[in-house]
Amino acid sequence: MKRGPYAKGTAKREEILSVALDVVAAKGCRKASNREIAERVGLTQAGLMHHFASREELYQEVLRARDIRDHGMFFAPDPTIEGFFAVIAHNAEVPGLVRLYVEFSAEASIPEHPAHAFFLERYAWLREGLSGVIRRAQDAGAIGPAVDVSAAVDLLVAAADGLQLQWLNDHTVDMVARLRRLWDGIVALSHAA
Amino acid sequence: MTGQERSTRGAYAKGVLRRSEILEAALDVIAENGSRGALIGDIARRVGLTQAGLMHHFRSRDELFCAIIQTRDEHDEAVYARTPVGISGFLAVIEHNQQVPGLVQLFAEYAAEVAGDPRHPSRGFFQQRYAALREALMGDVRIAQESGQMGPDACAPVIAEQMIVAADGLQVQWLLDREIDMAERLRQLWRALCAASFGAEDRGAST
Repeated sequence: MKRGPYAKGTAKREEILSVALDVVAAKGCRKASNREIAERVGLTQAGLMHHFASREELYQEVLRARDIRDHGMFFAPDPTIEGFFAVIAHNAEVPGLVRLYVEFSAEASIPEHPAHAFFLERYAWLREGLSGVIRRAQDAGAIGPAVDVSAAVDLLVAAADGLQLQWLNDHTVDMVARLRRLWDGIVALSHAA
Repeated sequence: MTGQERSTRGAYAKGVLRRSEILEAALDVIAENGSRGALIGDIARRVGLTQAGLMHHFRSRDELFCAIIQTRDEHDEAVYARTPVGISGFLAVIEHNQQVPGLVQLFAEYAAEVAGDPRHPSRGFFQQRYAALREALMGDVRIAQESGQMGPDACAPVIAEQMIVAADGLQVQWLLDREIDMAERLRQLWRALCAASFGAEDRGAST
């Protein structure tokens, strides 16, 4: 009685997240419908909403699950810049997630949006992780002292986001090579007097 | 156009005028209220039309959105033209963007929608827009080289791309958190790119 229903609920939740991702990957955020997601997982819309209170919560949880997985795959025990590049390289294998991320983060940028807080927290988390990357690289001597950490972090995050948009427009864009170039520039400047 | 031929010049000119009046109103509405929700209805109300009446001037939501972005770009070009040549024009436009979050939001959300859909009718519009922006930024690189701000080996297409992706990415960060100074961040990136252009020869990564 204890384990069963809980495990079943979790399995259904996982199934819903995975189907939601498929539907968004094919149709985009604006046109993906709760009804289609519900149908594909064999639930009514009310049944779907029992697991996720809204469309926004559903998409947010798809992205959160992705972050947790990426973190385990690429950032353990501590994030490194190579781990960050590995996440970006992996993104090129999952265009549906990139599409969801790019569309939903833009949609959620208005303050009243239900996922606004999620993205704010996510950026804070990402900035903190990248600040740590730079500080550890400095400690290891890989990066010099002359670097404005918060500017470097904002620009790395911005480039990663902007590159995903460009990559959706044109899959031949090499996101990792471009980011590596930006990182090389940050490293080169950090040694400047 | 519509079934009724706009045969006389007068009627055509009137249509054009009405269209540009609608677009100006759209920019005001979006700058004030953002682009969420009842956007087309809000624009129609502002110019005293029904939604159907408004959509008589634009074949589709996509045509309306592209026309709005185009009109905004034309306004921005006027900002560009008032500043000294070079990157300061681009930075002035970004600084101006910080006054009109609704327009930045519309652009960010619509650009994302278009990029996500390989069959989106507005793809060509955005491709041309990015190409034009890349050209303009490459021109800024050449100007910086001529003035000695950038080294002779600066790779203009790569620098243009770096400015574009950073500007796009910063918009979303800034919309979420207005403390971020987009123009200052881009100025820092430009300075870094200037400094890097005097370094060793190009690192050769293919881009």
